[in-house]
Amino acid sequence: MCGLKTNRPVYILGYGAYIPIRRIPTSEIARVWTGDEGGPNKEKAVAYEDEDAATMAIESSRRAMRMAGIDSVGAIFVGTESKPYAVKPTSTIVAEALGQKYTLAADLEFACKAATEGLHIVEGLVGSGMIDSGLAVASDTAQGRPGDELEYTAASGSVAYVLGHGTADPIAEIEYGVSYVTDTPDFWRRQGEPYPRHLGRFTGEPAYFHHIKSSVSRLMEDTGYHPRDFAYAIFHQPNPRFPVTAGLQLGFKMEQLEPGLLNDKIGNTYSASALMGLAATFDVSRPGDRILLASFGSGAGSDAFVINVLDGMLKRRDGAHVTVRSMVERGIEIDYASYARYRGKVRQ
Amino acid sequence: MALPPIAYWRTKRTYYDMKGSICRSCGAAFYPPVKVCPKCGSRELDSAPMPQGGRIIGFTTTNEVGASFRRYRPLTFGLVELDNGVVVLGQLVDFTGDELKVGARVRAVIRKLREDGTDGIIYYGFKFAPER
Amino acid sequence: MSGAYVRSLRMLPVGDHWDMSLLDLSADAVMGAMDEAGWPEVDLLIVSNMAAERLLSQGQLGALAAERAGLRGIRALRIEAGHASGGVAVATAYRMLRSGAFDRILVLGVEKVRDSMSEDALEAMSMSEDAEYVLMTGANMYTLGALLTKLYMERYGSSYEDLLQFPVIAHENGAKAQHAQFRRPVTIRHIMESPIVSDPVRLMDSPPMGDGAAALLLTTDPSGADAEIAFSDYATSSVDFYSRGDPLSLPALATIAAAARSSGIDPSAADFLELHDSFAVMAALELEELGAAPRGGAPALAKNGVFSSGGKLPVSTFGGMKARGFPVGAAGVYQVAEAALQVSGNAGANQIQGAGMGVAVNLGGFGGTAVLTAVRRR
Repeated sequence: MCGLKTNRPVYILGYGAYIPIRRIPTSEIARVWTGDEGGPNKEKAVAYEDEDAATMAIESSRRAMRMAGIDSVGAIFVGTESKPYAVKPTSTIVAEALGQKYTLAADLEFACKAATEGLHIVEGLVGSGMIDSGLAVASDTAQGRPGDELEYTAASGSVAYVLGHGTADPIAEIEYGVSYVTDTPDFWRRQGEPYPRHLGRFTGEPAYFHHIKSSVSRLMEDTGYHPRDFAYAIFHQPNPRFPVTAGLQLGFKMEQLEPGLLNDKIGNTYSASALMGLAATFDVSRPGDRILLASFGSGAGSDAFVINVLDGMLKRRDGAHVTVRSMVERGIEIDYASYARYRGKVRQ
Repeated sequence: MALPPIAYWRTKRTYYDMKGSICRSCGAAFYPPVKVCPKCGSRELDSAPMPQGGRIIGFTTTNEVGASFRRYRPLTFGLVELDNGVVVLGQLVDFTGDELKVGARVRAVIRKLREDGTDGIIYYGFKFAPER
Repeated sequence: MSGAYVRSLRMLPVGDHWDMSLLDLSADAVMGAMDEAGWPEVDLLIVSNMAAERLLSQGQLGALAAERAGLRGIRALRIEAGHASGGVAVATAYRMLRSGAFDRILVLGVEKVRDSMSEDALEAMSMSEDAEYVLMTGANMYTLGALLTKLYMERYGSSYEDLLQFPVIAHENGAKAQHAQFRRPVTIRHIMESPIVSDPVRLMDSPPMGDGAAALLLTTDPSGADAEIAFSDYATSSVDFYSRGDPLSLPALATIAAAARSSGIDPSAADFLELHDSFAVMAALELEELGAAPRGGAPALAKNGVFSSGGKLPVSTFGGMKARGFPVGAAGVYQVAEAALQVSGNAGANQIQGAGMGVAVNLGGFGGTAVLTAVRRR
């Protein structure tokens, strides 16, 4: 039995996202490196010089806490592959900024699924009664090797979820989860290296598609659900095409996928990718909606969840909430030279 | 030239939360924090976070930036009157085009203030971004 | 109470002194002043300096300067009050002489910033602000000068060019001064063509960096002295201008100007003023705080020639901080030396006719410390 289910129900109390305002069109990256028209996505979100995984995590966490209406958590797990320090947790910087001291806090690494792993972990801690509420945060300022095709999509963003018990108008419940892993070298970065390496086309079928299909099909088997039982499905988005291909192959329809598709405008925010799609979907969801979330992390693995939207969504979400769409739509275009400076690609 | 990391650590609350002081006797608020109320002289002061929003009362973009911050220039600074009347000096970030003007509403955000080279500490603290 | 008289003085030209170290500059200035006075016994050497500890890692300046100048064994110390170090040193000497504690005090202002890279010197000049704050936000004196300039322009409806009358006047005077760093007149167009350091402030409207040393021998014995220090005192206020209630006020200067008036010295009735014109806006604010111009009215009076060397109240008669130069910790001593030359009729091409009493204003940063020194003909 590989399903992940807690004895006590665990709810999502709030969520918050942060997308940095600067954008670089992939045509601009192509202009510098390849001479072709651009990448599979139109543009991507770029963190400024004074932003990093910690600053973005703080912003999305604060938003999530505000929506949840709580001022303390018992766990903060930050999933990131662009930790500002190799040794010194991002999560304690977030904890300090949130005024939390007596809390579990650590960083998780599992490429793009580090934060959904965090979601499973916090769910377990809440479900066991060990903590009342916890934060699962995704934050990445992904770096692409200059000139490599991944540079088109490697982007920056953060999203955070507060999980807790169901006492005060939760916005959703996590019904069921599955986690599937194998030792697969589709994409990696050695210690001390600035940029990752990957195996090109191998990152498709044997990596992304295999793992997502494995976690989702097992989840469907265990729960007895079919694609038609879901209002929405969100998949990890390394480029605009993969999540659509995976979704359609698994039997979902475009309308179910659309609200969560963000890669074309903001690129691949790595650990925040699938969860940002979930936040965008939450922004338009209604009580009663059942949502499928499936992440993929290179190295490799996939986390799948069934999430049910509750009445609290309408109460808590609207108001001073910053929607994902509003952040996606608001961008300042920059050129490659500025991009290279902000992302530290120029040696000084 | 930089302050020692320990000096920074000690004042972290000031830079993460904008923790200032509120005088229990006369109610005045101050940032950075004080030990004696500059207004009424009382020593009865509470540590309290300042409001995270305010409006710009003045701004400038500095091109000639000192050594510690040189690689981040130009830097834009604003005098922000927080919602409790306290005036704070801070960097302004993420302003587009004509958003930057006196009276513009801002919110405090946490950003990197500077890095101590490639192997030293990263200093985080508040800056001001447009309130959206 | 004893009087305090300027027995002798020596000023080195302000600028680059590649061949002279901090202590070489000190020795030159001290020996020059002492030569002129015939090497009387000195009770105390007060050195004013702002940046040597930081830029040159040099402490115990009092003992070192005394030794290098051949004054081994005497009492010596360094005073620091940001850019007001010089003024505060003079004020300290003045009070000690008046009280009869000492008979002869040598005040030496010395600064060596030109060995340092400009960006390091710029940070050193910004030490007068709360360092924890400035080193965390990245703001420097240009940032603060620019914010004040904009607040002034907005409140009074002045244009930036209106304010630039002040550096024009300063350079007009500096052009005639032997010891000035900048010896050419400038126009508002020149200033507007210089790079922006922090908008709208231009490089030529900002404090220049220069080495310098100036020494004053002050005594209680009037014989041989043509100039007397009639008043010298200082006050402090909030260091940052934006916590002052009214950011365009200079409360420390207001306090000390009131004290001067109580002792019979009206700064606005002086024959000339040596201003702390680090930025044009500061010249305007000081004049207005002293009552020499209505609030917001200083630029208009400047335009009408009131503050030029031939006007009713000449300012920065040897070029001020802007053109004579701004050897930070030493600047306040230069001001008093210049005032002494004026009232004793020894100002050469810079002589203000009939100068009987002049007032020097020396500020730390943007007014956290304010010194007011009145020098009159004996």
